[in-house]
Amino acid sequence: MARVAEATPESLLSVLPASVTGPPADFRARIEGARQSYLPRGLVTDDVLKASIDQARERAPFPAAVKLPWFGWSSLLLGGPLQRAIEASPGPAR
Amino acid sequence: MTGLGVGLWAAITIAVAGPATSTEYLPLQVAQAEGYFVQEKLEVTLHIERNEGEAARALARGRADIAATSLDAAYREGHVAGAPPPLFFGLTAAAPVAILVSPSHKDTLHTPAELRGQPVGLPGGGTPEQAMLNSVLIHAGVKIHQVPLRSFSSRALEGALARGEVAAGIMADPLITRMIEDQSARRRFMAPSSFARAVASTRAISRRWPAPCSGPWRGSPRRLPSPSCPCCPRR
Repeated sequence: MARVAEATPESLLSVLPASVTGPPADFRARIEGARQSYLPRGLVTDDVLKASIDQARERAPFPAAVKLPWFGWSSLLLGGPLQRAIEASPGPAR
Repeated sequence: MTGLGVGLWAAITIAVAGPATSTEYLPLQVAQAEGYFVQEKLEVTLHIERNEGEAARALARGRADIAATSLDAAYREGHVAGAPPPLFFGLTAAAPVAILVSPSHKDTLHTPAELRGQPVGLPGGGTPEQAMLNSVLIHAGVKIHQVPLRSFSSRALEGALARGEVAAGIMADPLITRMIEDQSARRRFMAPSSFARAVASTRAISRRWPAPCSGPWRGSPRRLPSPSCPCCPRR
C-alpha cells in the first residue's frame, strides 16, 4: 500500500503492464486522484466495517439469506495475520 | 510444486473486480509486478473479472480463493449459504470518484440535494460510480428514483456534460482531471471527508481455508485441497 501511495507514476509505469496502466497520461491522472482513498496499511476497524455495512444497507437491503451479526462485527474481520505482519515489519503509516 | 529444498509454495487465485485499469485494485497489480507475492512463497494468479459482482460470485462458486471487490458485492453475491466471506485486508475507503456539474448548471447546482429532478450521467449501472452517487444522494436526503439517471460511455459522458445534456455527472479519473483542466465542468462535489473516512467500500475478501485433510487426499468434491496440507494437490 505504501508503495502505491508514495511511488511516482513513472516508477509504477516502468513495472506495470500496459493492460493495467492504460495510456501513461491517463494513469498519472488516475493514480494522483486515487492516492487519498487507500486505507493506511490495509487496516479495517470494526467501526469502519459497521459504517460500510450500514451504508450498503441504506442503498438496498441485503438478501434475506445473508446472515450478518447484530453485534460483534469482529467476527467478520480476519485481522490477525495483517496485525502480525505489521508488528513484524513496522514501517510508514501507509 | 517446487522441491522440498526450496520450500513449499501456495497457489492462490484472486478474482479482481475489473476493469484491469481500476486504481482501487492497483496494490494487487503492483504486488504481483514487483514480486511481493513471490517473496512470500505465494504463486498468485490475478483473474480480472468483468465487475464487482462477478468477482464476488467467483469466490462463492469456488473459482477463486480470494476476491478483491466491494464489501457490498462480497456480501450480496459472495456469501456461501448465507455466510458472508470474512475480510482480511482493506484497499480503499471509497471509490475515487467525483460529481461534476455542467457549466450550464453552475449557477443553479450548489449542493447534492439540488440534483433532485435533474438528469445525472454515469458510466453504467452496477458500477462504483452509481453506488457512490446513491450514497451521496441518500445523505443529502434525495432518493435515487428522484434523480433521472442516464448511462454513457466515458467519452459520451464528457460530451453530454459539456453540452449540458445532463446537469451533472459522476465519474472517475482521468475524466475528472481532464474536464476540470479543460473547464468543461465547473464544480465538483466530493464525498464529505467524514463520510469517506467512515466508508470502506472496497477490499480484499478471504475465503476460510478448510481444515487440512486428515489423511491421503481422497478427491472428495466436498473438500477443497488445503495449501497447508502437504498431501493435498495444489489447484
